[in-house]
Amino acid sequence: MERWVIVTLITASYLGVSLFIGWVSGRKASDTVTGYVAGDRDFGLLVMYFVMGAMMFSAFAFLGTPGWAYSRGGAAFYVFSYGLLGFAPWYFMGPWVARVGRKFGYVTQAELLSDRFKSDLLSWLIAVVSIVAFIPYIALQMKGAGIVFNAVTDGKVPIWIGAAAAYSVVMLYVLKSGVLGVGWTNTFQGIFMLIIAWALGIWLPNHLYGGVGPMFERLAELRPELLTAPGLDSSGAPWGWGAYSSAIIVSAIGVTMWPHLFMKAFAAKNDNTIKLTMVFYPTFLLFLLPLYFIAFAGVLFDPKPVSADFILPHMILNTNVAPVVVGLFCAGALAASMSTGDAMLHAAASIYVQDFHRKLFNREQSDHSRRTMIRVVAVIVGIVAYFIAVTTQMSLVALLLAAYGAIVQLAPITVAAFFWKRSTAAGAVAGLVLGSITTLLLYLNPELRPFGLHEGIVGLTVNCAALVVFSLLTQPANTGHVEDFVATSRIPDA
Amino acid sequence: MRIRLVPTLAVLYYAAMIFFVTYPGYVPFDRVRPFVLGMPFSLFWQVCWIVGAGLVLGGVFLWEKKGRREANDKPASVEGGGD
Repeated sequence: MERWVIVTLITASYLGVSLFIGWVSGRKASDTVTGYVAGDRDFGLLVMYFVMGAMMFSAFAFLGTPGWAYSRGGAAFYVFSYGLLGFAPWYFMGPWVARVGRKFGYVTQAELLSDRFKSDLLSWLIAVVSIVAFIPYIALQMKGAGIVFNAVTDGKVPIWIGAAAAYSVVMLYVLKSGVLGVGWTNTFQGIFMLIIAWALGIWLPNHLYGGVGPMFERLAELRPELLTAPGLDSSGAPWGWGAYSSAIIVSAIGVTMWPHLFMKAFAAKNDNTIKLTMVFYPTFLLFLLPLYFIAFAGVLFDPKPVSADFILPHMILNTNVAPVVVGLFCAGALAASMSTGDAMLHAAASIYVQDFHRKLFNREQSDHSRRTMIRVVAVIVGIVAYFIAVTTQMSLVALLLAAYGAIVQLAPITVAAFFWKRSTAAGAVAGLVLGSITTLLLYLNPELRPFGLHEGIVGLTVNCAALVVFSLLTQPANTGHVEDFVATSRIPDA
Repeated sequence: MRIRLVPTLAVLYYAAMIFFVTYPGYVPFDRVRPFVLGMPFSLFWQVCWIVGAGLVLGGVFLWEKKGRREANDKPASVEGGGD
């Protein structure tokens, strides 16, 4: 049998298993919005661990991070640092978020913040920013899935078919099972990714250089500049410490504020589930290590890939591994893409209905009607993202970075929500808007950045100042609710 | 103040990490040699902070659990764990 046929068969089997798991896992959920969006707040440790880990590691982690390590060396180490620092606050913040969620019935981040500040405007703003960030992100995941499928089948499966196959499966289990489908498929996909990455990451350096140590020994002789941070920039010149360090800080804050992270915290069964997930999370993060190994193995390897992002499939395809392993690799890459894409698809639809539509058009919308609407919106979001993924040649990264920059700006409000009772709706909105505008302005005009600082850091400074000034100029609404909110967040489980 | 000591140590761990994986704290450790476990020291350094984070949070978790148990044994005392 030809290689591409075997690869396609294995990948199809993987998709079949994902669909099966996703389909049957939704049976236990109640027929409510809380059941569909937050899994009835009943996620245990196993599912939580894989949801958090697999969600963090997208198609970008599977392709982009090794691409960085291959072309920019130690610059890629920054992913390790922000991946850890971004999740660290959740050990403490996760239980607070889950507690107020249980008491006041929140299932999204915007619900939490807009209810704390009693501001619908805040809800719309967060909803718009989140959805604008999610759609290009989902499109990139789809494209990633299609590209890998295409590469490992020697071009026999076009990108649009690969992306459609993977994301039809995602769509089916998200529609049927909601967050439980996301949770259980991520568990399967996460285990799959971890095994494939570690197996290949240890095997390839052994096969090519006789081990990880000998491989790095040769690199230390021939390309030592790749083995230390901050590595190289995209043009191959040495990268700056300032850019490296501020990229870590801003990316970590961005990860902490991801709307779908909040949504998964609401799904946790109790405080211990979240805390133990964070205790064990570093074991998931270490999965980047074998990916770095594969990328470094590619540095001294001929032939070279067409682009750095292809280094992983390139190494798999050019080292005479068995077609079965190529198939498993392809499935692993799809798992990385799908386990992030499904959470975002589900989150985007839930956020649109809970935080935008309901607050703007139909305050009295019934639970049943909202649940149906989330499913309809999920289909629309999926179709829009798919259309963007297969048609546009323009870089989605610009749109993504702009929206992501705004999500970083949610950090001061979130901290204030739990720690500063005097903060008001006017302060929150002013901080978010002015911080986002500053970030966008400096992103578009890099020459205006003071001391070459990352635009997000300048935005955060403006944001904090606006939050404080506008809060002090206005009176907090409903102080009783604020007291209740803060007190609830601090009361541990019995 | 015994109650807050351990979580405070965890927060200090992360503060130290921010210093030691960015400029300037990373610089003295950001070197190719010595190799540890086959990895350049710069990469091994990163792995250490990640493994350390798991151990620190695990320690905080166990300590909180113990605090809760003690609090349950003595119902009159204030809550000993939580966060």
